[in-house]
Amino acid sequence: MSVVEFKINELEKLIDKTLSDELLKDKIPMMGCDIEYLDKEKVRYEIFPNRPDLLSQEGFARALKYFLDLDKGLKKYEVNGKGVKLNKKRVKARPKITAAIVKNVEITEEILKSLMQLQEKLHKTIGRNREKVAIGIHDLDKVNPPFTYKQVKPGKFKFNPLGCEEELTLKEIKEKHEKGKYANILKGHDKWPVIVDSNNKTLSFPPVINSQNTEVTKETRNLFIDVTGTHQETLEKTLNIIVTTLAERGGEIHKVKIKGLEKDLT
Amino acid sequence: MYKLTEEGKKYLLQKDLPEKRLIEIIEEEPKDINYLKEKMEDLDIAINWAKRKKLIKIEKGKVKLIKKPSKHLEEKALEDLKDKKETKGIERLLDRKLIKEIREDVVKKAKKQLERNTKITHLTPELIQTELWKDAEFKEYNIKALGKKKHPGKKHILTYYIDKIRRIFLDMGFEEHTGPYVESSFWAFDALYTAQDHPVREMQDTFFLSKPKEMKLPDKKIVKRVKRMHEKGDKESKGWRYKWKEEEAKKPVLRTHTTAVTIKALREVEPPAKIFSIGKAFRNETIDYSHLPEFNQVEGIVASEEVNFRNLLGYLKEFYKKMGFEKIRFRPGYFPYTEMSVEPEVYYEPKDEWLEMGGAGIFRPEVTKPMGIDVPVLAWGLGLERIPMLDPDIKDIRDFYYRNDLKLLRNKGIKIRE
Repeated sequence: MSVVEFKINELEKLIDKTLSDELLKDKIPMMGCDIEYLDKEKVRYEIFPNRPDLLSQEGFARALKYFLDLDKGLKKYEVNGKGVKLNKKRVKARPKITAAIVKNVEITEEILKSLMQLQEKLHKTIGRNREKVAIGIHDLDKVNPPFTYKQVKPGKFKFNPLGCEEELTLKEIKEKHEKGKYANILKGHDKWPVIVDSNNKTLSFPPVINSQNTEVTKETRNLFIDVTGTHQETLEKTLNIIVTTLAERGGEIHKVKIKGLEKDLT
Repeated sequence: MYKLTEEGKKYLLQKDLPEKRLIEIIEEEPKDINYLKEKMEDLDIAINWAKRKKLIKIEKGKVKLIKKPSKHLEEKALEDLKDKKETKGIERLLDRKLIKEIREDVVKKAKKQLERNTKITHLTPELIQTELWKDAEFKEYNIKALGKKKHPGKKHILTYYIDKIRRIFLDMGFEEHTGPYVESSFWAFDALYTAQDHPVREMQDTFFLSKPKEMKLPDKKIVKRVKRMHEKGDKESKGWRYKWKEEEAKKPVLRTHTTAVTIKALREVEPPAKIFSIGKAFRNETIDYSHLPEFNQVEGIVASEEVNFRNLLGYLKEFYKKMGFEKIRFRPGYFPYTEMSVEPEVYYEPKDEWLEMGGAGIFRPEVTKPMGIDVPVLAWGLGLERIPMLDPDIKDIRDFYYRNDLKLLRNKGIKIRE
């Protein structure tokens, strides 16, 4: 069971309605989320595992609108574009991938924080601590599609991981980087997964760490999202939660076409 | 020490010795026995002793005086006693039970008691025997003083609640089932449509056992149906879509909930059926004032063509009402094996808060179908310790579990009759 924290004024902005204490304390828990904490600025709710869509502030606000009768009908999201290509090579250690692009989102401090919380909670819940699902969110404008998902030798392949000044091999990341522990998921495999762009610039080393190259900042407007893992259905579900969350903040959803091996090792 | 007996007082203080009285009557002239019988009491004793002392003789029914002593031996002995002289007359007094001897140690004890207390608080056999109480001062009764506290045997808080809950469900027509603490993962999870990669099946939440290495699975038909439901679902369900592994289902666990008992029971009963179970469940919780790695669960199921979600809420409401909770509400909930699901909450006045008491719902068809049940099954699993924990006097669950604080358990009032 995960507990998520929401800013009350952000929720109010998203649903365009003031939330009274009574509403937050007594009524909203009836949506199926026990209240854990409440003060003037923030509220914490416990989210059930069958509703990972409520793990984001935006998704929670969307559900709240229906619950409070401010909206009705099943919300539809438009998916644009012919689709940027992603070439999927054979990656034994982590065979499944899905991806999408979201354009024209204004990344404020609040949105960035909320996105990071969502990513963390998804990893912990349906992601089974990144084993089943790992998410990477990148600044699209810093790289050039098409992208490639492939496996490389961990001792040789080098890149500059997030929060690090120098280039490290994947093996060094495992040993030195604070997120290196997630490389244990790849145990027993002699080749590890990476995502690179058309210039061989690294985006990510799933499920461990993104590259410094594609760091998302307040200046970021267009996002590339990759989701890798072991269970295709869960990957799609996770991706949907992220792109619809961003769409709630005015982003346009764009397709990413996955090309490559259809038959994967399971 | 010697004391006059009742008889001694009568014959030596109040009246004279019977033989002395007799002599007084016949002093002038011999008297007929029949006449004497009317004239005095204790005639038999008087004649007996007068004869032994050779003071009278009886001729033709008449009692005749031989000699009148100036003083009887007994009278003399009494005087000697007062002067603390030991004479052989004392033996006569003792023999006639006119006096009795009181042992020195008894006298000592009685005297000591009098010395110790200015006022007598309780009568002892010594005080009565020596008659020393007659001159002593007695302490008055304090009728307002509290009596000494007694702690007769009573039920432990947990036993009390278990019995009470059992009574309620039996009264509501439920049948009790029990099961072992060690279960296969199959019954604890798989049969309840909990996917094999669900976090509850990880080490940090559940106690897996290293011995036995594996548990037996039930008959193949059921295993096959459960496997198919997990992997592919059926016409109405998509299933979880993964590869279900038999080894995972064989892993032994300390049951994490007693639903393992009721799901097993469900396989054996013919609906309509109402089953309940009260028993321990185990989870890898960090121990604190409100959490223990073992706790009791109150589990119930109702399987019948006739029941629906409203009935489920009704059963729960009725149960908590019988437990003494007036305000009950239901919050939507989620569990992998029920849909719809609710979490019953009771209103807790001292804190002005709604407190969650457990989980409930209708078993998903993914759970019931492989068991061969095709009617709705209402189910609930309620925390038992949460009820006594609502008592403001109970601040720590360990006080009535591991530590068993005797003071708390003794002083905690529990209603014997509602």
